[in-house]
Amino acid sequence: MKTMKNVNQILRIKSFLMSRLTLSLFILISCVSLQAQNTVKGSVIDQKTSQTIIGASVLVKGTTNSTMTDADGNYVLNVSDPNAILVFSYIGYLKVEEAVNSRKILNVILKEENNTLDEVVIIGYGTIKKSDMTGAVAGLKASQLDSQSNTNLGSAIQGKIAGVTVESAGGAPGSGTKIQIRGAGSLNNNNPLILVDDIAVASMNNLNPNDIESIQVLKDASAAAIYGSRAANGVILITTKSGKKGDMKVSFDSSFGYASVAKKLDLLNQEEWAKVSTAAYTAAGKQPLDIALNPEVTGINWQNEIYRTAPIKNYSLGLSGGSDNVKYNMSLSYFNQEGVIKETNYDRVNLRVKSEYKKGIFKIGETVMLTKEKRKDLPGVPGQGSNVVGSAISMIPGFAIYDENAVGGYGGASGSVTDIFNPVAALNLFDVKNDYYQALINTFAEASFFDGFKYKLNVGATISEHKAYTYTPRYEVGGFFKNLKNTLAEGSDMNQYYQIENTLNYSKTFGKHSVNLLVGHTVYENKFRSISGSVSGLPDGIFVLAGAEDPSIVGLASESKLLSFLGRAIYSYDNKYIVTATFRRDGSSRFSPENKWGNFPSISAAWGIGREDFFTKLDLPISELKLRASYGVLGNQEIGDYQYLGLISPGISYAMGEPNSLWIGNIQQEYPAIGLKWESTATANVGIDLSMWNGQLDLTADYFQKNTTDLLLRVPIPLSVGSSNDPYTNAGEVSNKGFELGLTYNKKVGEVNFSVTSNISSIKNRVEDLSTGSQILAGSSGSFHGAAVTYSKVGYPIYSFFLVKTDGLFRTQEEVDAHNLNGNPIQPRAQVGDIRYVDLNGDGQIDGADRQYRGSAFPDFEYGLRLQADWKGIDVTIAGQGTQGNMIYNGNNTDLATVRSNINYSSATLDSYTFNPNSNFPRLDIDDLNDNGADYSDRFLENGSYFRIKTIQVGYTIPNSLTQKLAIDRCRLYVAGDNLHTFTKYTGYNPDVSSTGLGGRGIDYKSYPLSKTITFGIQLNF
Amino acid sequence: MGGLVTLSSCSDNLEFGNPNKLTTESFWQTPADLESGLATVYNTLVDNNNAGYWEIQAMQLKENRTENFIARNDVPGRFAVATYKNSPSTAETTGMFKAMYIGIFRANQVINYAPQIKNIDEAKRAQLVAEASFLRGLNYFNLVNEFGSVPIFTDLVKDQSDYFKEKSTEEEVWSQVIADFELAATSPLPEIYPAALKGRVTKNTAIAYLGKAYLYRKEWAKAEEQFAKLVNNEGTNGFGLLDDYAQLFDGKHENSKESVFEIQFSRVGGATIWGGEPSQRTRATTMAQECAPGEVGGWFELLPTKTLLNALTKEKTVDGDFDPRATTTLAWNYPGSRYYNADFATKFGANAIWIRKNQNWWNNDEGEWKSELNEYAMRYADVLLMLAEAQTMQGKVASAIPLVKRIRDRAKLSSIVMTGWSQTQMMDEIMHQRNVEFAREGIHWYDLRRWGTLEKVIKGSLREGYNNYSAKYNYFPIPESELNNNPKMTQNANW
Repeated sequence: MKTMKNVNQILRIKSFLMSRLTLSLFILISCVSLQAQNTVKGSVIDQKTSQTIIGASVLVKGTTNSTMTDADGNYVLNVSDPNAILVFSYIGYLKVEEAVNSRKILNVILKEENNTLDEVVIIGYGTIKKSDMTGAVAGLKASQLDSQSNTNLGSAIQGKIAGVTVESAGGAPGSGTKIQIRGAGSLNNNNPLILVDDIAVASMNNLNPNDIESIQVLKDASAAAIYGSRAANGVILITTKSGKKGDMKVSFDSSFGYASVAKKLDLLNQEEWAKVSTAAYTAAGKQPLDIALNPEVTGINWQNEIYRTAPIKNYSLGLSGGSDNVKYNMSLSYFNQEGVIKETNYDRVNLRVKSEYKKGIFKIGETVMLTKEKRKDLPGVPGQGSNVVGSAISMIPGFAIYDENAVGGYGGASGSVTDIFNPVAALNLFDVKNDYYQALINTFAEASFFDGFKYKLNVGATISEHKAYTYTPRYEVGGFFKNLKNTLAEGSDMNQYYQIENTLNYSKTFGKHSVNLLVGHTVYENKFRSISGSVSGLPDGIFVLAGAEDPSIVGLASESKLLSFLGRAIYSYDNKYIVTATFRRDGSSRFSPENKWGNFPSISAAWGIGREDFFTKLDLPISELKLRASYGVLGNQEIGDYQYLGLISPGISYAMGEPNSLWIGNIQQEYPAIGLKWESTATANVGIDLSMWNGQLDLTADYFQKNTTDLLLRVPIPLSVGSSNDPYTNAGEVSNKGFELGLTYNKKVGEVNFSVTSNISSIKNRVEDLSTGSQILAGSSGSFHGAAVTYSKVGYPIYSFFLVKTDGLFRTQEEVDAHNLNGNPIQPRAQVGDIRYVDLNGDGQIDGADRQYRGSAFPDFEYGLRLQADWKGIDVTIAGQGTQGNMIYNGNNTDLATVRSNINYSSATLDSYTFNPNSNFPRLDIDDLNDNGADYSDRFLENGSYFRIKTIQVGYTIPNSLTQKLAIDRCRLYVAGDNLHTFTKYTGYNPDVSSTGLGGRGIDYKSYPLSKTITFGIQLNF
Repeated sequence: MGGLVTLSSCSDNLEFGNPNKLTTESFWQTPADLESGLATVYNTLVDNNNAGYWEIQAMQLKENRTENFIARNDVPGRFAVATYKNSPSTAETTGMFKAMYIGIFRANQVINYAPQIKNIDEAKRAQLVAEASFLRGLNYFNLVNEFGSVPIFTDLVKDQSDYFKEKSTEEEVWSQVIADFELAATSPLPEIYPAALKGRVTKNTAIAYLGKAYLYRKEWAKAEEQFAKLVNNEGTNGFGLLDDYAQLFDGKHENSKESVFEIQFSRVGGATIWGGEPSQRTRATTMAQECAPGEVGGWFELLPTKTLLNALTKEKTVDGDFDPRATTTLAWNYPGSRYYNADFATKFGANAIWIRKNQNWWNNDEGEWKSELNEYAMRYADVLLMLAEAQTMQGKVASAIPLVKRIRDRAKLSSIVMTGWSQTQMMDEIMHQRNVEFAREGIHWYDLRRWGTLEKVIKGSLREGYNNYSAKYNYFPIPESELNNNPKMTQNANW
């Protein structure tokens, strides 16, 4: 048999397809030749994947007579006793015993062992049995990512891990997600540390979800402590697929789908718009607008003009295999997505090679990932539309799209209306391209020596290059926009990240004692350099930075470094009592010399109560029960470089002389951060892991308190100091308290296997302290030119909504008159049908000083649910997720639902007080003297709770017996839908989009809507 | 293995200098360093990212609350100021406050680092310090005019506790203004600059502003003394009025003999209008584009009122024409009125009124939005009328007559007999002349306030928002963010 296998392997290398035939032939021959004896043969199949299992053990019970399944998962065994019992086993799978009962062919299906507590989990700088884990860790396996319909990895984990919040960063093709672990602890950076095969990456957006073997999330200080200063926001460990011992396996996945905007806003058509606009002008005693009386066209639906149903294509090819000493896994994938907004698109090529070589005590290996991304982005748009989405919803329907006589050929807004840029013109005129290239290379060499020692050197680099290109041709668009010269701006930047890690590990078991010790030293270095330039007045048809007017060039560079010493000790007695202590000392170039170093310790313990004699004697259906507790301190240094230095800013100039020439100036603009030190986060965590009915039910629950102190914060200093930016200071404290629950239930009923995975988490976020007591940090605005609507204030969640409360409409003149302070009207220009505001500070007038807490973008809880079932070859997956209790500031309505600028409006205006005296929508008046449209009003705040059916996938695996004839091990066809439906009362495009920055969370202003996707695909394994 | 460990720890240097910028230690060495520092103080007057006092935002706030103009209603903060609904949180007034203190911080750097500059001619050092002192004084002048009582910084902050300063009284701020102007007015600064240095502060600029400060303080004799220094020396200092009022705003007579302090705008520097690095930004202004009518792609943010048109057309020239100041300041439907190369009534409507002053109205439109037209911070006509006022207020009405006559004559108005006028009669004439002479130039509001006629004029104009007006809007409130972040700060009395 062994010889046969070797021959077989050689043949495989020669020709993959040929080998399939050869192998079958060999098996046939061997079977025939062994027929005479009492042989039993068959194959061992994985219940989940329907693939055969290589190297499964087959044993005649009570004897030493055994064999292993071959490269195709087949076995042949001499069995003398026709009533013998065969025991089939494989690591990680439940044993199956089958009586031969005189059968000659005996196929068995092995089922994955669900006792997840015995899994090996990856922790920083090593692995550990899950039963030895003392910290809060959660993970996902490849099969749980639903990568067939989730083309972005962030989206693939959304709603699947308790305590991990994933928000869409917008629906633009290739745009990623924002991830937060256990709330927002910091006011400057809440991004978790993401490591791919042990090397840090800036984002997981450019990974191919098909490449991922597992994702581990280290949530508490104990689990993350080994990563020290970079881990305060949690750590996401991504492991890509590795080769497994055995013949080369080939997989090919292909899918094709369509995306469309999940929802469009309900806006006015030209006739309705003219009615609303004219009513508002009439109310103010003004003549109607010309465009209301004489539209250029009967009416354009500008949303329809920019959105489309767009195709998505995805191809992925994988090879993997290995022997005792060499293992390899490679993949090549191509992903292409047209944007649901016309003219935008994204495409990505990923090439990944991961291999491992063993010789004696040495092991070396590497991961190499090359990524190329190309996007055609939405252009920035001049005027008050802000961007293409904003322009499309703001554009008056009566203006024409095209104008043959204009330079560039597009029409647009003109006359006494708001300057909105024709969005169709923007998409076609402006050419905005961004290309990203990334090489991630991580190598390691490992030596195992003496008894239990392992030294590992890891050297890695991530080199990322970005090229930006924006071309603006000459154009005239409507009455407001004119560009007389072709202009081109190009930029290029490169980021180089290097890491060197030395670790020494000692792991040994003495009887019931087991120890695992780790010491290490690491260096991380980051170098950034950019250059960008622009010219104008290019001749038509020239698209390079050459020979034109107004040349301008800017460059930037920065460098930072982090040095660390780390140590960890894990001690376990009898698998029942486990203690872990971790220490990390980090030195950062970002702080002034006296504050460079920070120490980050943690300690944790666990008690495997389920393994105690007294507990097992109770004979409960509990297979594992463990209690955990941890405490630790982590740091944060994400403030950008050089903040402690007083710097001179160049190029702050003035025109001087007749004729004018440039007088170049240099000056210190900001005061430096004086005495800046590390921000630190202390987390206490208690948790319980429970497994019942042999792993049918798994439960993990955690409660934590996370306190961030010495917040690195640009604390506003008085304006009178004259610093153009506020310096960083260590000021204030933020707390996050939360509860997380994860539940998994697996069951087989008849021939149906099903599993339910669910999680729920709840976090209370609170600003405990901010520098001087009265300090209020303004967050982001949700309107054009508007004031901030989110503020951080002691006693409230970070960046909560502080708005002036509305108190319905004035329904009668008596109500208007009654709204006074000592006889003076509080809203002197209010009329019946206007909004009544609450004068919080009682000063007899309504202004920003009457703002009060009106809610937060943080939900009361968020949850996810995933159901999976299979029956024979059919499998079904349904995943959903949602939030409850969060608020959204619908910034679009500050434009669309306030008839005070001359743009298109929301359909809700048709039901305003002007047309319907029972309405809650205020009266229309273009002068809006009562400020019904004030951006500080809570009328724009909406409930953002939602539940989304995120994924539905139905697959069919063609029976093995059929596909084998085509030399295919497995063939699965599927149809998948993503973002199919969102249940929400929120009236904007979609409830989980927010503008950039922490202060912008929960603000929806002109963001790219999410799309829903239907995908058809095929997965082939050879 | 030991070798491998060292491989990673050999570079344990954690000190990096910033490759992009110099530090405060390495800068401030040479005369060129000091002079380039001074350029940034001028920059704050025009920086549109920092609400410079002669850039669009502040320019509009100076005028949009007078009876002469109103703001477009869709930029909420500007409209709030225009309709007396602004509050301490209004971003536009906050920006103005901040911009003035940025200017002060920069001026203080020049003044405080000047003594350590090596190899510099002592007269040059004194000149640069005088120039920076004048600009610091100008910022305090603007602060006390807009916000009343504010904190005074004359040193650089050394420690975090220095960030927090309580308000000085208005009297103290005025003393600082006068001290800074006086230093420059008595410094070795030249009286006239060669062409290449036009636009910078001269000794005469400082004298004129010192007079203006005294005038605002109603210290008439001291004001007269300063203005007289200029008016009595026209032979040497070269000051005078241009013959034709329209020349002042035709873009061809910049930095003329009528220019006392002129804010420079030019298409030098970068190409960017907003955003980007400072070096990428153009030194031109978008003021003309933002004030232009929608018909030519403008944003019509500052809209002239009928009240202004009435004031400008109140008196005709000797030839029976419109006062050239009317047709230079505004465009409306009068016979032969052309605006942006079109017949006014046809293109803009028979009832429209638009700004002509400092608009590039002789072009088809505002082109690429980068206007090069300078703003006058102070014209010599202003000096003449301020001198006339200082004299009239001391009862020397007769001395004021030739000064007022010069203004009227240039406007081709008839020679009226002023001899024997009472103080009130002369002041009425000066008030009217100042209104029509300087409309849109950003000084009318402050004139009305110091004359005590603000309430009467605003309420009487029936302009939009007039009934919101009360005396508290005479000054802007101390910004909310200053109050929130400075525990020693208190709000102004009326607020």
